[in-house]
Amino acid sequence: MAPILALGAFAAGAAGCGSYGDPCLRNTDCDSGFVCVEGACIIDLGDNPSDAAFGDAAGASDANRPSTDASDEEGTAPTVDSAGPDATRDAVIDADAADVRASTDSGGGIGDGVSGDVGGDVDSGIVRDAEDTTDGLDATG
Amino acid sequence: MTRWTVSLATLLVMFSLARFAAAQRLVTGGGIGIGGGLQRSDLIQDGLFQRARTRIVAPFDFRNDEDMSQGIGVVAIFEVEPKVGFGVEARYVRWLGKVVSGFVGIPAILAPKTLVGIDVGVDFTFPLGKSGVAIFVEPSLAAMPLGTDIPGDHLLLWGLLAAGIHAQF
Repeated sequence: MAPILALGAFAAGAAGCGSYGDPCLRNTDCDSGFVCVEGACIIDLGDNPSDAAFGDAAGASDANRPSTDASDEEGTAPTVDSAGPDATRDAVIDADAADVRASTDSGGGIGDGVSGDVGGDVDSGIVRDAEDTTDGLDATG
Repeated sequence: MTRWTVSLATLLVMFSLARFAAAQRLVTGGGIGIGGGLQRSDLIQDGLFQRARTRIVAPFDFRNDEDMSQGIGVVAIFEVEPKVGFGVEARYVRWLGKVVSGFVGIPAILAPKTLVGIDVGVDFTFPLGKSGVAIFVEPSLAAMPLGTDIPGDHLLLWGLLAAGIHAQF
């Protein structure tokens, strides 16, 4: 009985059938559409047409591939990126960056004002206390 | 004229009396067997080894009959389970007697993706009578660092054992 169990364990130790998450040591250990990364088969997200035999049709897009992000709700369609030209998106990004820079500059002015006010309050308070003490001494003298 | 006649006659006599010299002859052997074993890579996080693919091997060896102690070999490799693949191996073989031979080779899996490395091994050949047919048992170790079948910059190690039938042609 022991040899049979040992043989079964030996057979079970073989590389898996090659679907998602199965262990692998070679790229061809994984089924079509999967690729071996760090010892496990994961979905092949590459768009390299030379790998067409492994599930990448020439010119295929990642837009319709199932997402591997665990935070995605199951069964929802993947969000397709904006169909607009890249130039438009770049212009929007540049404008946002300019806004951020402007906000940062004005923030420096606010900081200066706060520190000046605080300094002024502290100074004036000390002077007032000193004057009160002087007045007291004069009164007692 | 007499000079040419004597020369031709002497040449004919020498050719007719000379014994046929034994030229070098190619001694060929071949066989077929089945193999398997264990494989290891630094990709494995749990456990030391996995079972390597089962393969059918068809080894052929070629020797010069004037120097039967060494030769070259070519092995056809058919990976059959759990995934299929095809490859060849070229090896230098050194015979250490009639039973034992050692080899150093360059195995290469060619399809569906490539895998190239180096291996060393020993062949034990047990003759079945005097017919030239024998059973071979072949343990070997291989290191496969190159090829498109290797995911990333890793090294694949094989410890293999093959057995089958070998014949001298």
